[in-house]
Amino acid sequence: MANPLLRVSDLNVFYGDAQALWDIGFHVDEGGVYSIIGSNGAGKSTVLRTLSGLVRPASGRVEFLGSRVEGKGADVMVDLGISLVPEGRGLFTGLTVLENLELGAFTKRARKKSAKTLEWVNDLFPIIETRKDQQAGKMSGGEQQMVAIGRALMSRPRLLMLDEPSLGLAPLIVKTVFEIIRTLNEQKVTILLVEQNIHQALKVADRALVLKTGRITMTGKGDELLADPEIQKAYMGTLRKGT
Amino acid sequence: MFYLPPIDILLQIMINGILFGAMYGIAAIGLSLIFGTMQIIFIAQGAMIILAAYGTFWLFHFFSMDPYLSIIVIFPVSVIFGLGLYQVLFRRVARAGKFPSLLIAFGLMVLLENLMSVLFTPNSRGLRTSYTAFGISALGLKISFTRLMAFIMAILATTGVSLFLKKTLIGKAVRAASENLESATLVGITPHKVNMVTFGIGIGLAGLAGVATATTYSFGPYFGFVFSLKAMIALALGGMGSVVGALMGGVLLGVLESYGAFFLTGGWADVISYAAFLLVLMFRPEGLFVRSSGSERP
Repeated sequence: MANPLLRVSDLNVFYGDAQALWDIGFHVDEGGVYSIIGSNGAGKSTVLRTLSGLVRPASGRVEFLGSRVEGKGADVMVDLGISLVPEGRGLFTGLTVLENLELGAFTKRARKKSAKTLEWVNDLFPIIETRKDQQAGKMSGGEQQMVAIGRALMSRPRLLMLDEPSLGLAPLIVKTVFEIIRTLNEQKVTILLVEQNIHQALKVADRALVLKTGRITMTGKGDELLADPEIQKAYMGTLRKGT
Repeated sequence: MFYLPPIDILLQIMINGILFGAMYGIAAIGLSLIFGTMQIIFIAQGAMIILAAYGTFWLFHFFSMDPYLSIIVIFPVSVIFGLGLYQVLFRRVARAGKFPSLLIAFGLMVLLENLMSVLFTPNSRGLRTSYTAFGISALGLKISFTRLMAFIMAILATTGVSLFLKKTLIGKAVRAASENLESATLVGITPHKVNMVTFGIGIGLAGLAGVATATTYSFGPYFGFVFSLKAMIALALGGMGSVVGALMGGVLLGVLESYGAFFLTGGWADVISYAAFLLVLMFRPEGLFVRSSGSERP
């Protein structure tokens, strides 16, 4: 088989003296949806923050498109094609929707194509075009999530990473968010997804891994994990009560 | 002791205050930009202004260059100086947090003050041009030509910076980085680049304020510190992170000071401005000209 788009091996990450990730290794194939699931504080976000360049790993390797990229800054990573929609969306709330999108295409690689990319994003999220002059912070949570995803897409990512895109959204909007993930995947965007909404995250995923206190406890195909009795017992039971 | 003077005098004081305060405004915009991206008060801003004032003075003295014409030298040189200053002094420590940057800014201020004192002597200087004492009379009010020019420069600078921040991609990047640095790096904005841009513009504005200072007042090597303090007060009045607010804060401070100096005595002007500073910080820390809702960041 060809080289995967992203290969992570033996990744160790610390916050100060506290180790947050232990020997993380997995790979993401081009065109797929890969989900990372686990409970609060398991280190899911840390994986994405490390891959996006916001956090430097203590050891391990990250190969993207065949070359080593670990330890590079976030501004470099996005230029290489790894784009993160952070938890809480991280929009520039005082700027307009359009300005947010324009800045999404800040890298030289993306800037050249920004007009065309904007058309694509507008097609994906018709709401964005109608609200383009509105202050991003004044939109609803669901709309903000769409702007955040749209902004990440403006960078023309090879790998789109979404950190809890459904967090804090109403159930109906959550459904929309997962529909968007499916649509993007049909359009050949490779997605690495972190979610606490485990049922949805596994349903949409080709492959997934389970994180527990910074270690991988399980990996497999999305539907296999979904059917796994241990996962159902550990995560789904509590989740159904919650939602 | 207290009497109400005729209205034309009150108006005259107000106009003097507005014109005077516009200069605080230019200095405050520079502070505001640098604060936005680096989260430090660039305390050396005042010393930069005085350095530029000396530049204007010497250009006039040696080359008979008109002070307003000298803007075409002073402004670009200040911008380049600002860019270089960031690269040499701040780039390495910017990542280490605000405190080292703040200390460096303080050290820079003291260094510049002493350097100017040694090179240019501690005596105060003033520019004497043919139009220094020139005034415009209208509706029974007298407006000093050089102060009016300073005011116009402040308006132009504010407009220029506002347009830059609103219309250019790099300007938008500066606003984005001021608001959320992490998200800014995630879209590919390099923090050092925006820091450098704000330093370039900030020191460029100090250059303009220096020209304005040189044409309107006599100045000495140590005058900058008070300038920095006043710019800081103007910022607190106007609200951090708003360019127009910074200018309005400066104007308000100028008006407060000139009424203070008239109704009480000169020494009270400072007491009043610092008291206003504390009161605003206590009761409206987001500034007088910033809508209090909408911003989620403290």
